[in-house]
Amino acid sequence: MWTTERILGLAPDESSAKAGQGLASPRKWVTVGQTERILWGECQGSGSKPYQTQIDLSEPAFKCSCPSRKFPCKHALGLFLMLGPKVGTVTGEPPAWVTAWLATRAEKAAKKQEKIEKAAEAPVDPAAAAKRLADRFGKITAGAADLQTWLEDMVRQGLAAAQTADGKFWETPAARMVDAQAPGLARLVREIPENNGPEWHVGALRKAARLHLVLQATQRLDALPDDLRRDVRQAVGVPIKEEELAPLPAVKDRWHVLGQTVEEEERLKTQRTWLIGEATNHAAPVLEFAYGGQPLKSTLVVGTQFDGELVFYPGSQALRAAIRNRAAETTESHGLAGHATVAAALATYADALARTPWLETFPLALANMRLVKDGENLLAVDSERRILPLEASDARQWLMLSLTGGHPAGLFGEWTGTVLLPRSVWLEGVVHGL
Amino acid sequence: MASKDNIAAQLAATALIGTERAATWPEPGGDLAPSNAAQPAQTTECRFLTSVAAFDVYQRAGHMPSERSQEVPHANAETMPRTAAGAASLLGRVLNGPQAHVLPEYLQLCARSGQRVHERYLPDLLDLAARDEALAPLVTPVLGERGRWLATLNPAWSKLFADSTGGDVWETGSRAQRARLLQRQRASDPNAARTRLEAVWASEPPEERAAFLATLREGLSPLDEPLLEKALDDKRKEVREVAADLLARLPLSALCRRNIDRLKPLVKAKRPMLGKMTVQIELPPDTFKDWARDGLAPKPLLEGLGDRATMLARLIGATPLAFWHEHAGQNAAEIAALTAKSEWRDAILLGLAAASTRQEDAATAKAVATAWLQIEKSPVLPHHDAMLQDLIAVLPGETREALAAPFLANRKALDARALYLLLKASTHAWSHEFSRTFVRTLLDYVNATGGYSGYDAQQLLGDQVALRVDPALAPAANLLAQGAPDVRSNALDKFLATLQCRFDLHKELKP
Repeated sequence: MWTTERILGLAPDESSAKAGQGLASPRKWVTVGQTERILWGECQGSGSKPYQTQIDLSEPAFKCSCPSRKFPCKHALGLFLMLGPKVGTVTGEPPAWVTAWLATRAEKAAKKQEKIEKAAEAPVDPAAAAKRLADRFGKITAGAADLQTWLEDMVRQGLAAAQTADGKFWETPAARMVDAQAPGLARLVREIPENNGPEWHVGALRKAARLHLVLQATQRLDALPDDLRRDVRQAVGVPIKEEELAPLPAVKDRWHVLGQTVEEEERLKTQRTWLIGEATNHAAPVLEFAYGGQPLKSTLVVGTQFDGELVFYPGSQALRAAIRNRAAETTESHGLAGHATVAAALATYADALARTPWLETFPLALANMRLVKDGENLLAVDSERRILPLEASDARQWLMLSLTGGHPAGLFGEWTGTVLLPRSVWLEGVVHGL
Repeated sequence: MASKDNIAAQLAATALIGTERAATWPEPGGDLAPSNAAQPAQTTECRFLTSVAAFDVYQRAGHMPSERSQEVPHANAETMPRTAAGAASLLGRVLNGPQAHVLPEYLQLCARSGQRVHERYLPDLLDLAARDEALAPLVTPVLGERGRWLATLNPAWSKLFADSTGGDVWETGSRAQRARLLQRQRASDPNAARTRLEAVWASEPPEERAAFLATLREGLSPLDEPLLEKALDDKRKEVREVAADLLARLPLSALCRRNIDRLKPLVKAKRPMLGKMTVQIELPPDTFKDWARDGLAPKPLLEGLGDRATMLARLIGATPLAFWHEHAGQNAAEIAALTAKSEWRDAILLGLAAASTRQEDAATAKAVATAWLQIEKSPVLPHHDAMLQDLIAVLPGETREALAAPFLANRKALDARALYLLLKASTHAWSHEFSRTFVRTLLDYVNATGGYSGYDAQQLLGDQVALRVDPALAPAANLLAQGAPDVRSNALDKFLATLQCRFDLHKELKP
């Protein structure tokens, strides 16, 4: 299950991937060993003592005694590339430094579990929490009112003027929203001009209208039902603290990792990894952030699955999830059932939109879709010949066609309301990340 | 109510010029009408944005998927098995990593084992094949049904399977495309290809004539002589040169007979009273009369030689090797061995080298190469490395290895220029024995020199040699290299990495 692509997919950046490939050679390693669960090796670096590198395949988790802050480091990637694709080539008893690490990991996991249980039992003071939130929203509400004025000015003067405005036109109100502690609103502002082509104003208008909906809701927060209020909170970007998630019920399932994207904005990397429950069909991304040159630490790999519990962020629907705990073992995913028809899939989207009208993208998993090239575009066609248009780079389109050959396959992606952004396809029991 | 598209267009138009100038737009009614009760005092702009938002949500929620009337095309069922997971993963490493130069070997092994590559890599391979003509024939056999199907969908790829006799290409293609077409046809039907060329000969521009004539080298036969003889009188020098070169490859051609007559007076076999027969070779006179028509001109001079010596080398190079046995009593290989004593040694060796390369005569080539490699000092030969390499290319692998062995035995001499040239031109898969000797010498050398090496050794260690050493030696080489210092630019590391990659390749793609 550990193919080259999946291993390289874990690399924190391009240079680590390259360096790792250079280290995937027996000559670099003084000792190597593996069991079904662990890979370990000692790599001769520039120092006198070789670096001790170890990988726990179950998650996978990495540890290396080298000073690099990259994660996984090039040594771990090299060891993984060398041994991962062909587990069982070398054997041996794990040395003491490996067993010690495993013991520490088990201990940490137990402590974390204990902490979660304690937090769940701890009494929450709802009144104090509500007051904290109200204070914060005070600032945001004022900022949102200013932004509403700016938005209306833009519409009054026309988008033709906005299209030719310089970057400051968008950046000034966005920065103000950051100051007002509403990063979600800042993002919605920055996204308005982000589209090209002759129909710029059509896309920009749509996004402006979406921002308008969120702003209206922010100003009428008190009149909204609880769940919708929580949706607004997520949309404007008020962070949810771990303590707030702790008392929430968790959903137990076998979670399939069916998509992963990384966006970089203002030196902040955001990784969204889509998890879908096999029995519950709940789908939501877990998010991970890394600022500046910091690496992303997630080890979730598209095409794998694990048993565990997820907590969904509060709101009218599952828009974001956090992993509360997971079983030690990660295994190969063989895909999911998914919706049988495009119509059935879109019905769930309409439902979600009715609950959260400013919804940006929505996860759709579909079964038995056949892919076909239509000019520049790729289409997915269901058994009733209904079409779902896809948006993907040329390279990705050809990859998807090549993997499926026009035969029915499972498809997962994010639906924007007009196109599906594909994230994975599966057939013959193998999930291919895109 | 106006149609959906109409509403969208009107809203967009209003937004573009601004509500300042266009104060009316289609406001949604019915269920979509905003409940104004909650907010009595709304601005025009706020009402407008609410209309847009309502219409947008309405449109997205009510998206009706269109229906496709045509069939969805699909690839046929495969007839070959797909490579196993290990081999597939390895291809991923080869395509994405620093070992891209082993790709041809991967493809060959894959084809030999009767397998097709994993579908994941088809687009990358098709792209590479479309860009690189040398790679294309290696890629096509391992594409499987899926790959061939995929190629039909992309014009950039479908040309890989274009008909090779294509009349269209001959009429409208570029010079290079047309030359390739001729070349392919020469391989299957040489006479038809020549007839095709003869039909257009008079009307083609000189660059085309030179390029097309050169394709006759494939499947060359006496039937080509009339056209080549005619081309000797071409207006353009490039065309004449190609013609003379090709005619010199046909031992029964009129050009070869003329050259024999030119060489005869310069070669004198002497039988002394005692001892072996000797052969004396003289320089031609300095008036060359009609020689130029047959491609024999002193200019440009062969580096290191004067004009008469240059002419001697060119003449020998364009004369059938059988000449020596018939007219000098000794065969060409013996002549090569005797040259050491001749005043015109270097010119004769260059000439014999050219002749044995042209005539692909391995026995003579071996004798010439042996004589050449034994010469330690020469003002001439070091300028002609390319010719030595062409010569080595004529030799079978075992001869090359036999020639290199004595150099390899001297473990301090990896930098020897002769060895470098020999190994560089030894493009065959090296035997296990030879590979082992090479690896041992290499590591002895690296250890002895503390990693320092001349430019040649470093270059040699690049991908060239690593692709020819028997990959079965990878584990042994890694073991020997433990603790060894590296050569400049990590050349040793790269060598070992390539060898290891090939080792894995052969293991994963066993037939």
